[in-house]
Parts: sequence; C-alpha cells; structure tokens
Amino acid sequence: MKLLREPLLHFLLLGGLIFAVLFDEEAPGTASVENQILIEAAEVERMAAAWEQRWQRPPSEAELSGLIGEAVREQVLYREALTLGLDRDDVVVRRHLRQKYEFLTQDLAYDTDPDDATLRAYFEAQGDRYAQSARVSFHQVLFSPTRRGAQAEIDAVQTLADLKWATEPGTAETLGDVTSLPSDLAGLDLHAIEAMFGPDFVAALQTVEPGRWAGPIVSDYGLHLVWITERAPGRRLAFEEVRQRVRDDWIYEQRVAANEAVYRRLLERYEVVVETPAAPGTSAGGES
Amino acid sequence: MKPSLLKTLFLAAVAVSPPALPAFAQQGIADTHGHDASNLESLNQKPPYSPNAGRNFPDRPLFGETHLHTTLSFDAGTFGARLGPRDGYRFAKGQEIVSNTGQPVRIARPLDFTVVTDHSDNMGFFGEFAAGNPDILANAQAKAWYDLMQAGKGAEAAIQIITAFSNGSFPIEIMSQPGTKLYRDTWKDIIAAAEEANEPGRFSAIIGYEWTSQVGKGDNLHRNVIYRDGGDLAVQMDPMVTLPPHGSQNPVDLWKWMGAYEEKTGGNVLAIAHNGNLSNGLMFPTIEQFGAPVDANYASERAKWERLYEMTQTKGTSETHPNLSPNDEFADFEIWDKGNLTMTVAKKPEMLQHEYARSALLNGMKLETQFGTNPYKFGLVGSTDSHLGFSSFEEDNFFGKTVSMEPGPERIAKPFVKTDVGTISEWEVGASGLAVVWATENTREAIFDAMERKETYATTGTRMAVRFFGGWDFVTEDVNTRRPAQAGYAKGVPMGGDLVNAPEGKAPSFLVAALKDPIGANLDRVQIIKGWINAEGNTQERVYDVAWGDADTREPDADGKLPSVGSTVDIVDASFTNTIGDPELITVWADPDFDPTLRAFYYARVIEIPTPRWTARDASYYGVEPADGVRMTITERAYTSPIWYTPAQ
Repeated sequence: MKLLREPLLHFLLLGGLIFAVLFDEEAPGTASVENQILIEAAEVERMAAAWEQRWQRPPSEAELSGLIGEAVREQVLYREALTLGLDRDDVVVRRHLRQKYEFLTQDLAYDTDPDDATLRAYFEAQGDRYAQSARVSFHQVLFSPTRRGAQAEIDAVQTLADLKWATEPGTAETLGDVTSLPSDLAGLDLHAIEAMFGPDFVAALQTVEPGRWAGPIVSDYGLHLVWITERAPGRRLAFEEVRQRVRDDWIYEQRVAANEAVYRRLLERYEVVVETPAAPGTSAGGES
Repeated sequence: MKPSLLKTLFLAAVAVSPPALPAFAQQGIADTHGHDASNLESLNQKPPYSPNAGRNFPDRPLFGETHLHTTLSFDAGTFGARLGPRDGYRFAKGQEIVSNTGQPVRIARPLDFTVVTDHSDNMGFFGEFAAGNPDILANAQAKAWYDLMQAGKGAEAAIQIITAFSNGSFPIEIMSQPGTKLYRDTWKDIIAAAEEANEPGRFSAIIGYEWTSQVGKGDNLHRNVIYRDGGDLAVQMDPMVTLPPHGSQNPVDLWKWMGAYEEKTGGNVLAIAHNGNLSNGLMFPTIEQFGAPVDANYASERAKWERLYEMTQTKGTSETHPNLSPNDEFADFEIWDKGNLTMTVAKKPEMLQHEYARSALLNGMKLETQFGTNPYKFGLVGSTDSHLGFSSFEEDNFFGKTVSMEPGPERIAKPFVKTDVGTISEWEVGASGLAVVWATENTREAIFDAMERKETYATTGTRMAVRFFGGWDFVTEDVNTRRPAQAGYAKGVPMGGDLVNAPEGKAPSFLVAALKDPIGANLDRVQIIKGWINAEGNTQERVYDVAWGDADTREPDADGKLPSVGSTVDIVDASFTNTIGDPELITVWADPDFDPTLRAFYYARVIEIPTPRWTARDASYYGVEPADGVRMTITERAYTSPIWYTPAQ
C-alpha cells in the first residue's frame, strides 16, 4: 500500500478526522439542522435500490414510505438517545468508534525507505536476533508410559545403563516402543525438532552431550533416550545475508512506533486519573 | 526374568561388539513387549546399513494456511483490517504483531507455509483510495468521497463507499480491476510480499488469490487459486475476477483462466473450493450448473483443477451433516446450516447433499460410473479464511474471523450475521483450521506437488501428525517397526492415492498412525470412514473405530459401540488434563466388508479428547457468562485425504 506522506495533507486529514469523530455523528444521507430531520433524495434512492436488490423489484409506494418512516424513527430515537447520553456508557459504541478512528488515522506516515547505515545500526543493536538456529542430528528411542506405565522410566534408565558402552547409535534401533516418531533425524533446526517433539524435549536436548546414549528426556509422548550424532552450532548471520529481513523488521517497528506516536499526541490533551480500588475486605475510607 | 529384559541385554551386548553388528531388518524384531527374542532370526535380512539410504519420504508434516485475507481484500479493508500481506507472513513466522484493534498477538508456534489469498475483485481499492491515489481521484465520485473525508467526514465516506459497492452503484471506472494500473500495482505488491517472505527450507510464502464467485443472493462458490510458481510467472497475468467485463461467476471460466495461465507461463496452479455449507446446494452439483449439464467435460475439468477441498474453517466444518450421516455420532460438529453466505436465503434439507464433502465424495463416485471421471475426487485441507491480515485458529489465542471479532468481552454475545432469515452468532465462528501437507521439503514447489497428489490432511487447528496408507498386504507387524512410514510407502499408497487391481481374495488394508499435537490434547480414537456405491448404484457410508485411547479399560459394547472417552475439561478455568486418551495411536485395519466389484473410498478421522473451546477461554478471561446453548468444549480432529478403490472395468 502506498502511504500518504506529505505532512500538510497528513495534518489536514488528521485534523479533519478528529472533527469528524467528535462533532459529526450523523448517519449518511441526513442533514443536520437542529430539530429538523431531512431525508435527502439520494438517501431515498439508496433505500429503494437496496430494497430492489433484495427483492428483485422496486418497492411499492407504501413500502417506500415504510422504509422512510423507519429511517425517520431511527433518527428520532438516535438523537434522543444521544441527548440522554446513552452512547457514552456503551462498550459496543465506544469500541466501534475507536476502531473507526484508528482505521482512519493509522498508517498515514512512516518512513519506508531507510538507508543502509540506518539498517546496519539497527542490525548491530539486535544481538542474536538474526542468528541461524543450531542444527542437530540425533537418534531417539521412546519408552511409552501408555504401554509400560510406571515401568517406562525404570526400563529407560536400565536400558541406558545397558547401552553405556555402545559405540554407535544404530544398535539401539529396536529397543523401546513402537512409534511413528522418527527414530533418526538428520540436520534439523530446533524449530523443526520442536514441531515434532515439543518445547520441553528441545530444551533438554540442548544439554545432551553428543556421541553416546543419554537421557531419558521427556516429551508428551513419553521418555526418550537420545544419541546426538552431530550438532552444528547456531551462528549470527552477516548483515548481507539478512538485509531484507532487517529492512522489513525496521519498517515494521517504524510503523508501530508512528501509530503509537499518533496516540501519544492525542493522549497529551487529557489528564488521566486512575483511582485505585480498595482491596477486598478493606474499607475505602480507612480507619481514623 | 522377563523376555523383554533378556532381549535388552542381548541387544546391549550386540551394541558393544561392532564387528558382529547386524543391520537390523525393518520388520519383525522391533517389539519389546511380549514377543521373545526368537524374532531375531530375521536379522539376516539386510537392508543398507544406513537407515536413511533410499529414504525420500518426509519425517514430519508441514502445517500451514491456504486462505488468508488482508487489508487488500475490499471487504476486510473497508471494515477495519489494516494489516497487509507482510504482517500476515511475519505473524506466521512467529513474530509478535499488533492486531487491528491494537492488541499484541503472537502465534504459539510458527507455521511452515502461508498463502495470502485476497479477493481478486476490487483488490487493493480501499488502501489506495485512503492514500489519495491520483488515478482514483481522477473520478468525480471518488473525488467527492475523498473531499468528504478531507472535510472531516471520513466515517460517512466509508459508509457511502461500502453502500455503493454492495448496491452495485460503485463507479466501475475506478473499481480496481484487471488491466488497470491500480490492480496491477496491487497484484505486484502481493507478489512482492510473498517473494520477500519466502525462505525455502524454512518458510514457504506461496502466491495466491481468492476468486469470489457468489451467485443468486449470496450462494458461496468461492475458490482459492494457489500458485506453484514464483513472482516471475505469477506476475504475467492478472488474477481471474468475477465481475464483468473481465470476470465470470462460473467456475468453468475460472478453469479456462487457469488453463490459459499455464499455457502462457508454463507455470502451475490449482484451485481449492470452500464453504460448500454456505452454497445452498450449489457447491457440488450432480445435474447442472449455470444452465449447462454436469457432463464428462465438467467432470474432467473439475477433477483436473480442483485437487483439494477446504473442509473446515472459521465459517463451519463441512465434512458431513447429521441429516446426511445419522449413524455418525461425531457428525454434528461446528455446523453452519441456516442459510447461504449472506443469510439471505434459508437452507432447505435437499440442499445438504450438494454441500458437504462426504456426500460429494460419494456422489462423485456415482458420476464416475456415468462419465468415466470422478469430478469430486478431492483431497482435504483446512484453513482459516481470516479477514484480519493474520491467521487465527488456536482456541486459547483466537482473534476471530473479522476485525469486529477481535477479543473483547462482548463478542461471545454478538451476532456475526443477522438478517430476517436468521442469525449466526459470533460464538458459532470456529477457531479452525490448518492445511497439512506431507511434502518432501519446505518449498513452494514441494508443497504444491504434495497438494497435487492430495497427500494432505485437514485439521481443525490442532497439529496432530497423521499418516494413512492403503494397500493389499499390510499386516500388524508393519506397525511394530521403528519406521511405520517406510512400510507404508513401500507396501502401499499414501493418503490421496488409488487402489486398483484387487488381488483375488484380498481386502484392502490400511496402516494408520496418529501422534497427538506435541503440546496439545491426547487422542480419543482413530476412525476410518468408508463410502461406497452398492450393487444397486446407491451411496453408502460407514464409520469404523479402528484404534482408541485407554484401550486397556475401554472396549466396544455388545453393539460394537465404543464408549465415550470422557472429559477432563474444567470450563470455569478453561483447562483440561491429558489423563484420558493416548498420545499416540497406530494400527493396521483391513476392510471386513470388502466387495471387489464396488467403488469405495476410505479416509481416516482422528479425534482428540474434549478441550475448552475459544468461548470457554473468553468466558474465563473476561469473566462473562455465556448464554444458554453456547458450546464451550470441542473435540478437535484431523481428516485425511481419501484413498480410492476402483474395480477393474
């Protein structure tokens, strides 16, 4: 989406919108003179067209006057409701107006064309955000509590002890329980491992030493003995490798910040007072 | 000493003596509960030492979204969605964003792929208009609206624009339509967003759009068009629309467009229809459509282009309807059956069989006997149809379908659509679903190819891993291996495949394996749903329970009915515990009622134990009391693409 960036237009539009929301609450097609309800010809035409679209024929005179009567009734009751201030305590009205306002004021101005120096500075400040995940190749054997009950942990620990001198992982292939979880995985990043085994498993896997059977580590599926054959550590990527991502992230943050700035400017017009409610069981007045 | 321990010790001994190391066969020796060590005789079958050698099937399924709208969709933008394709991709990759109503939101786990599918009609209009695009302001009406906005009546302008669009008086010359600069720029921007977000191997940002055919007073015939290709090809043609002069409401014309695109660019596209439940009997015709008969040509073109069907999403799940499947106790699930998409025409019972996936799969086989091609031989996916600019399908993190439904205390009580025909409440909107593919790698091409061969399944938002294979020789030992998938691919076809040439005296057998979502709920049961055409030419269906959790204490009763798994849901806290059900179910099942002369399909349905629905999370978080009848629990599920059996001619 192209964005309007001329400051003058921006100012005019924003000023106008504030006016719209605060001072113009009329429905379309009606004009506002105090105590007059004017249903404009265009609005009558619109009602007739809407009728025709639904019923596939034009409204009769009686039907059209019924529609107009309804529109007048709506205006009368709407205005009376406003007079009584019924809009003010209504969460639906409030939220709807807020959404309208935000829709019309957001995303109007922010920088979408940062230069390289800006991006590099941003990149440098991000720490490990632009890093390649570690990759792990491993074998796993499952001991399922569903199949073994409490014996699962005992069996897992016993099997680990039996495998203490194992010199390569393939030999344990047939131990443990039947599962469609893969028994050997090559070069997966941590995200992919988590997608299969869950976050707890991945966290525990990080602490396992490669080159021997270890565990048991726990997933929602049960207890796993694991043998890491290879662990390629993660690394920070160079700016050139992630330039596009850095740019996207920078622009995104600009946009969020610009939208927040609009709100902050509006907020400055108000004094905000938040009262602290009394804790339950205490008296609001306190004791003298 | 128990045999299993004996074996453990034996194998441990083997393990420390590399010279004697046998390369274990994949079958026969895997079991450690109950079988004795004599199975080790099969050790002398020697596959290659490396178990990975020759392995070309995927270890895990890829979870994604094929149906996401952003501010570039006319309806989404006008009603308050401000987030664009770039936001949608950021969100899918796991980054926190700020929602349309200013609420921070983040997905629990990243997705593997996403297709942004904005409506092709009037694509990109509102954003350009609001930004004062001079091409639009050249039109007097547009200028008048814009001036109204400048004069401080922005809200009024928005209402006038929406009204003009819905009553057909929107000036066609400023409508964003193919061939105009605005349309072209919008399409290029959609493509550019996908190109930027696409990271082969890690995240696939797939190009697509929605062709939004709506006939009568709002009968839904929508299709999403999905590209295999990169921007260099996709940019060569503007999307197909429905409005004249460039477009058509007839799917036959969409297929022509797809053919023309492939012809012109050498690229590949497929279409995924959705919401048959809101088509009022038009989604899966059997007699005629648009005044033309459903014939051999219709059947072959539909089968060619519409490889998949989006069966579950926010606007209801369309597997089957309780009226169509009275014997299926799980049929009454997230049903939307009050009317068409706009709720302007009420539903009639006779419409249902042309709206739901299972009846379409059945009618398709019937039509195949007539035309030689089954028009409804589709695989299954789910997706969201979110109009938020980001995908939302998690029960405890649900932002709704439209901006008006973003979290707030009142949404549980508000109407979503209200007309004189009926009301659909916002609580009826479902936090669903996901498209899952067994792709060989995470790239646009591999995902598309998996879709083409229908090696896909649908979930209602959960991330179960489900494998489903059909063949003639599956035996129980096949699941007692460390690599059931290896047996699956070696001895059968995966979901979406075909069985033919039934060997004399054999029934088809199926290997099905389901792992629960790694951080989700346990599994209640795995079912296989069989549909067939009987000797009289009538459609038949039956649901078989083939594996279930808590099997040590839960048995089918005398009538063969499996008792309920129960429920651990605490509605007040919107919580549950995994103390019932099983984390994994795996079995081999052979059809006990097979007749080799009759056409049939089989698909697997995996059902989770009950969990809190998003409505329960809302009630708990906002402290609101839901009205009577608001569903507070859900049994999430996965549905695989079918495997079809076709008898010899």
